[in-house]
Amino acid sequence: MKKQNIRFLIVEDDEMIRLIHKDFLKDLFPDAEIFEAENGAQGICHYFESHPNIILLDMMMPIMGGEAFLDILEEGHHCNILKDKPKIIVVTAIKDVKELMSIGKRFAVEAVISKPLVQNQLKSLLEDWIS
Amino acid sequence: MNNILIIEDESLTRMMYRNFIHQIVPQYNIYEASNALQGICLCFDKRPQLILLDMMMPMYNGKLIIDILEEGIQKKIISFKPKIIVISAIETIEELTELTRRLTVSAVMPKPLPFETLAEILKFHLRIDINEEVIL
Repeated sequence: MKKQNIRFLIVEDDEMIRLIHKDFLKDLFPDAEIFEAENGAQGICHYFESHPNIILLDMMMPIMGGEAFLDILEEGHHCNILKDKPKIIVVTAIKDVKELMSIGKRFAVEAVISKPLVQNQLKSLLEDWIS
Repeated sequence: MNNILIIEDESLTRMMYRNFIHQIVPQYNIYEASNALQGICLCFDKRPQLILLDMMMPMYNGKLIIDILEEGIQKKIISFKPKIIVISAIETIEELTELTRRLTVSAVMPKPLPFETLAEILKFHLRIDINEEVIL
Protein backbone atom coordinates (compact mmCIF):
# COMPACT_ATOMS: atom_id res chain seq x y z
CA MET A 1 0.00 0.00 0.00
CA LYS A 2 1.34 3.40 -0.96
CA LYS A 3 1.13 6.39 1.34
CA GLN A 4 -0.06 8.73 -1.40
CA ASN A 5 -3.34 7.10 -2.34
CA ILE A 6 -4.45 5.59 0.91
CA ARG A 7 -8.11 5.89 1.92
CA PHE A 8 -9.25 5.38 5.50
CA LEU A 9 -12.78 4.88 6.76
CA ILE A 10 -13.61 5.47 10.43
CA VAL A 11 -16.88 3.86 11.55
CA GLU A 12 -17.56 5.02 15.08
CA ASP A 13 -20.58 6.58 16.78
CA ASP A 14 -18.66 8.51 19.45
CA GLU A 15 -17.69 11.86 17.97
CA MET A 16 -14.71 12.33 20.32
CA ILE A 17 -13.21 8.98 19.39
CA ARG A 18 -13.77 9.70 15.69
CA LEU A 19 -11.87 12.93 16.10
CA ILE A 20 -9.02 11.23 17.96
CA HIS A 21 -8.76 8.57 15.24
CA LYS A 22 -8.83 11.21 12.55
CA ASP A 23 -6.15 13.42 14.09
CA PHE A 24 -3.97 10.41 14.70
CA LEU A 25 -4.28 9.19 11.09
CA LYS A 26 -3.73 12.69 9.70
CA ASP A 27 -0.52 13.04 11.69
CA LEU A 28 0.78 9.73 10.43
CA PHE A 29 -0.43 10.02 6.84
CA PRO A 30 -1.06 13.67 5.89
CA ASP A 31 -1.93 12.81 2.28
CA ALA A 32 -4.49 10.16 3.11
CA GLU A 33 -8.18 10.56 2.42
CA ILE A 34 -10.28 9.99 5.53
CA PHE A 35 -14.01 9.20 5.49
CA GLU A 36 -16.13 9.21 8.63
CA ALA A 37 -19.31 7.33 9.47
CA GLU A 38 -21.47 7.61 12.59
CA ASN A 39 -22.90 4.13 12.29
CA GLY A 40 -22.63 0.93 10.31
CA ALA A 41 -25.22 2.01 7.76
CA GLN A 42 -23.27 5.15 6.81
CA GLY A 43 -20.12 3.05 6.94
CA ILE A 44 -21.44 0.58 4.35
CA CYS A 45 -22.41 3.45 2.04
CA HIS A 46 -18.91 4.94 2.31
CA TYR A 47 -17.37 1.54 1.78
CA PHE A 48 -19.18 0.94 -1.51
CA GLU A 49 -18.84 4.54 -2.72
CA SER A 50 -15.19 5.20 -1.86
CA HIS A 51 -13.54 1.78 -1.51
CA PRO A 52 -11.32 2.59 1.48
CA ASN A 53 -8.18 0.46 1.91
CA ILE A 54 -8.26 0.48 5.69
CA ILE A 55 -11.32 0.57 7.93
CA LEU A 56 -11.40 1.29 11.66
CA LEU A 57 -14.61 -0.36 12.83
CA ASP A 58 -16.46 -0.01 16.12
CA MET A 59 -18.76 -2.93 16.97
CA MET A 60 -21.51 -1.37 19.07
CA MET A 61 -23.35 1.46 17.31
CA PRO A 62 -26.97 2.57 16.90
CA ILE A 63 -28.97 1.91 13.68
CA MET A 64 -26.43 -0.66 12.51
CA GLY A 65 -23.47 -2.14 14.36
CA GLY A 66 -20.16 -3.61 13.28
CA GLU A 67 -21.52 -7.15 13.19
CA ALA A 68 -23.92 -6.37 10.33
CA PHE A 69 -21.13 -4.43 8.57
CA LEU A 70 -18.92 -7.52 8.63
CA ASP A 71 -21.85 -9.76 7.61
CA ILE A 72 -22.51 -7.66 4.51
CA LEU A 73 -18.86 -7.71 3.42
CA GLU A 74 -18.65 -11.43 4.04
CA GLU A 75 -21.76 -12.18 1.99
CA GLY A 76 -20.60 -9.89 -0.82
CA HIS A 77 -17.25 -11.66 -0.92
CA HIS A 78 -18.95 -15.06 -0.83
CA CYS A 79 -21.18 -14.16 -3.83
CA ASN A 80 -18.30 -12.54 -5.76
CA ILE A 81 -19.96 -9.14 -5.74
CA LEU A 82 -17.12 -7.44 -3.80
CA LYS A 83 -14.18 -6.57 -5.98
CA ASP A 84 -11.71 -5.60 -3.29
CA LYS A 85 -10.73 -6.74 0.17
CA PRO A 86 -10.11 -3.92 2.62
CA LYS A 87 -8.08 -4.33 5.79
CA ILE A 88 -10.37 -3.98 8.77
CA ILE A 89 -9.18 -3.08 12.25
CA VAL A 90 -11.91 -3.67 14.79
CA VAL A 91 -11.64 -1.23 17.68
CA THR A 92 -13.91 -2.45 20.43
CA ALA A 93 -14.74 -2.23 24.10
CA ILE A 94 -15.76 -5.92 24.07
CA LYS A 95 -13.84 -7.80 26.73
CA ASP A 96 -15.17 -11.33 26.24
CA VAL A 97 -12.29 -13.41 24.87
CA LYS A 98 -14.47 -15.82 22.87
CA GLU A 99 -16.29 -12.96 21.25
CA LEU A 100 -13.01 -11.22 20.41
CA MET A 101 -11.62 -14.43 18.91
CA SER A 102 -14.67 -14.89 16.69
CA ILE A 103 -14.45 -11.30 15.46
CA GLY A 104 -10.78 -11.86 14.65
CA LYS A 105 -11.68 -14.74 12.33
CA ARG A 106 -14.13 -12.73 10.23
CA PHE A 107 -13.51 -11.87 6.56
CA ALA A 108 -11.09 -8.97 6.07
CA VAL A 109 -10.55 -8.46 9.80
CA GLU A 110 -6.79 -8.07 10.24
CA ALA A 111 -6.68 -6.99 13.85
CA VAL A 112 -8.83 -6.47 16.92
CA ILE A 113 -7.74 -3.67 19.21
CA SER A 114 -9.38 -2.95 22.53
CA LYS A 115 -10.80 0.41 23.52
CA PRO A 116 -9.59 2.82 24.78
CA LEU A 117 -7.34 2.69 21.75
CA VAL A 118 -3.69 2.11 22.31
CA GLN A 119 -2.29 4.24 19.55
CA ASN A 120 1.12 2.59 19.51
CA GLN A 121 -0.54 -0.70 18.55
CA LEU A 122 -2.39 0.94 15.72
CA LYS A 123 0.70 2.83 14.57
CA SER A 124 2.87 -0.26 14.30
CA LEU A 125 0.12 -2.10 12.39
CA LEU A 126 -0.33 0.69 9.87
CA GLU A 127 3.39 1.17 9.39
CA ASP A 128 3.69 -2.50 8.51
CA TRP A 129 1.13 -2.14 5.74
CA ILE A 130 1.88 1.29 4.34
CA SER A 131 5.14 2.38 2.79
CA MET B 1 -29.20 2.12 -15.72
CA ASN B 2 -32.23 -0.02 -16.45
CA ASN B 3 -31.92 -2.37 -13.51
CA ILE B 4 -34.48 -3.88 -11.18
CA LEU B 5 -33.50 -5.75 -8.03
CA ILE B 6 -35.63 -8.41 -6.33
CA ILE B 7 -34.81 -9.10 -2.67
CA GLU B 8 -36.80 -12.12 -1.51
CA ASP B 9 -35.78 -15.27 0.33
CA GLU B 10 -38.20 -17.68 -1.37
CA SER B 11 -36.81 -18.83 -4.69
CA LEU B 12 -40.24 -19.63 -6.15
CA THR B 13 -41.54 -16.15 -5.38
CA ARG B 14 -38.37 -14.63 -6.86
CA MET B 15 -38.83 -16.62 -10.04
CA MET B 16 -42.46 -15.57 -10.26
CA TYR B 17 -41.53 -11.87 -9.87
CA ARG B 18 -38.77 -12.25 -12.44
CA ASN B 19 -41.11 -13.76 -15.01
CA PHE B 20 -43.74 -11.11 -14.32
CA ILE B 21 -41.27 -8.25 -14.59
CA HIS B 22 -39.74 -9.63 -17.73
CA GLN B 23 -43.16 -9.75 -19.39
CA ILE B 24 -44.01 -6.20 -18.39
CA VAL B 25 -40.68 -4.41 -18.95
CA PRO B 26 -38.42 -6.73 -21.00
CA GLN B 27 -35.87 -3.92 -21.52
CA TYR B 28 -34.88 -4.00 -17.82
CA ASN B 29 -32.12 -6.17 -16.38
CA ILE B 30 -33.37 -8.14 -13.40
CA TYR B 31 -31.12 -9.06 -10.48
CA GLU B 32 -32.02 -11.33 -7.58
CA ALA B 33 -30.87 -11.48 -3.97
CA SER B 34 -31.95 -14.25 -1.62
CA ASN B 35 -31.21 -12.33 1.58
CA ALA B 36 -30.80 -8.78 2.85
CA LEU B 37 -26.98 -8.88 2.88
CA GLN B 38 -26.76 -9.92 -0.77
CA GLY B 39 -29.42 -7.33 -1.50
CA ILE B 40 -27.24 -4.55 -0.08
CA CYS B 41 -24.21 -5.64 -2.10
CA LEU B 42 -26.20 -5.93 -5.35
CA CYS B 43 -27.91 -2.63 -4.70
CA PHE B 44 -24.57 -0.79 -4.61
CA ASP B 45 -23.15 -2.85 -7.46
CA LYS B 46 -26.09 -2.49 -9.88
CA ARG B 47 -27.70 0.76 -8.65
CA PRO B 48 -31.22 -0.34 -9.55
CA GLN B 49 -33.98 2.14 -10.32
CA LEU B 50 -36.47 -0.05 -8.52
CA ILE B 51 -36.23 -2.61 -5.72
CA LEU B 52 -38.89 -5.15 -4.85
CA LEU B 53 -38.26 -5.82 -1.18
CA ASP B 54 -39.63 -8.55 1.03
CA MET B 55 -39.67 -7.42 4.68
CA MET B 56 -39.72 -10.78 6.38
CA MET B 57 -36.50 -12.64 5.75
CA PRO B 58 -34.36 -14.83 8.02
CA MET B 59 -31.31 -13.30 9.75
CA TYR B 60 -31.64 -9.72 8.56
CA ASN B 61 -34.98 -8.37 7.39
CA GLY B 62 -35.82 -5.72 4.82
CA LYS B 63 -35.46 -2.91 7.35
CA LEU B 64 -31.66 -3.19 7.13
CA ILE B 65 -31.74 -2.17 3.48
CA ILE B 66 -34.09 0.75 4.10
CA ASP B 67 -31.92 1.92 7.03
CA ILE B 68 -28.71 1.83 5.01
CA LEU B 69 -30.09 3.58 1.93
CA GLU B 70 -31.82 6.22 4.04
CA GLU B 71 -28.61 7.02 5.97
CA GLY B 72 -26.63 7.14 2.73
CA ILE B 73 -29.09 9.45 1.01
CA GLN B 74 -29.69 11.77 3.99
CA LYS B 75 -25.97 12.21 4.62
CA LYS B 76 -25.37 12.57 0.87
CA ILE B 77 -22.90 9.69 0.84
CA ILE B 78 -24.58 7.95 -2.07
CA SER B 79 -25.69 9.57 -5.29
CA PHE B 80 -28.38 7.15 -6.41
CA LYS B 81 -31.87 6.82 -5.00
CA PRO B 82 -33.72 3.65 -5.83
CA LYS B 83 -37.47 3.41 -5.38
CA ILE B 84 -38.35 0.67 -2.96
CA ILE B 85 -41.58 -1.27 -3.33
CA VAL B 86 -42.10 -3.20 -0.11
CA ILE B 87 -44.02 -6.41 -0.66
CA SER B 88 -45.07 -7.81 2.64
CA ALA B 89 -47.82 -9.33 4.69
CA ILE B 90 -48.09 -6.32 7.01
CA GLU B 91 -49.69 -7.18 10.33
CA THR B 92 -50.56 -3.82 11.88
CA ILE B 93 -51.48 -0.29 10.86
CA GLU B 94 -48.52 1.06 12.89
CA GLU B 95 -46.15 -1.06 10.86
CA LEU B 96 -47.68 0.12 7.60
CA THR B 97 -47.60 3.80 8.63
CA GLU B 98 -44.03 3.54 9.79
CA LEU B 99 -42.96 1.96 6.50
CA THR B 100 -44.72 4.47 4.26
CA ARG B 101 -43.01 7.33 6.15
CA ARG B 102 -39.59 6.07 5.17
CA LEU B 103 -37.70 8.18 2.68
CA THR B 104 -36.93 5.54 0.08
CA VAL B 105 -40.16 3.54 0.29
CA SER B 106 -42.41 4.39 -2.67
CA ALA B 107 -45.15 1.86 -2.00
CA VAL B 108 -46.15 -0.93 0.33
CA MET B 109 -47.95 -3.83 -1.32
CA PRO B 110 -49.70 -6.89 0.07
CA LYS B 111 -48.26 -10.34 -0.26
CA PRO B 112 -49.10 -12.39 -2.30
CA LEU B 113 -48.95 -9.74 -4.98
CA PRO B 114 -51.28 -10.16 -7.98
CA PHE B 115 -49.74 -9.83 -11.43
CA GLU B 116 -52.00 -6.90 -12.38
CA THR B 117 -50.90 -4.92 -9.31
CA LEU B 118 -47.23 -5.47 -10.04
CA ALA B 119 -47.79 -4.43 -13.65
CA GLU B 120 -49.43 -1.18 -12.51
CA ILE B 121 -46.64 -0.47 -10.00
CA LEU B 122 -43.93 -0.98 -12.58
CA LYS B 123 -45.64 1.12 -15.20
CA PHE B 124 -46.40 3.91 -12.72
CA HIS B 125 -42.98 4.14 -11.06
CA LEU B 126 -40.81 3.52 -14.07
CA ARG B 127 -42.79 5.91 -16.27
CA ILE B 128 -42.31 8.68 -13.71
CA ASP B 129 -38.59 8.12 -13.98
CA ILE B 130 -38.68 8.39 -17.74
CA ASN B 131 -40.74 11.61 -17.60
CA GLU B 132 -38.31 13.14 -15.11
CA GLU B 133 -35.44 12.42 -17.45
CA VAL B 134 -37.28 14.04 -20.32
CA ILE B 135 -37.96 17.18 -18.23
CA LEU B 136 -34.30 17.44 -17.15
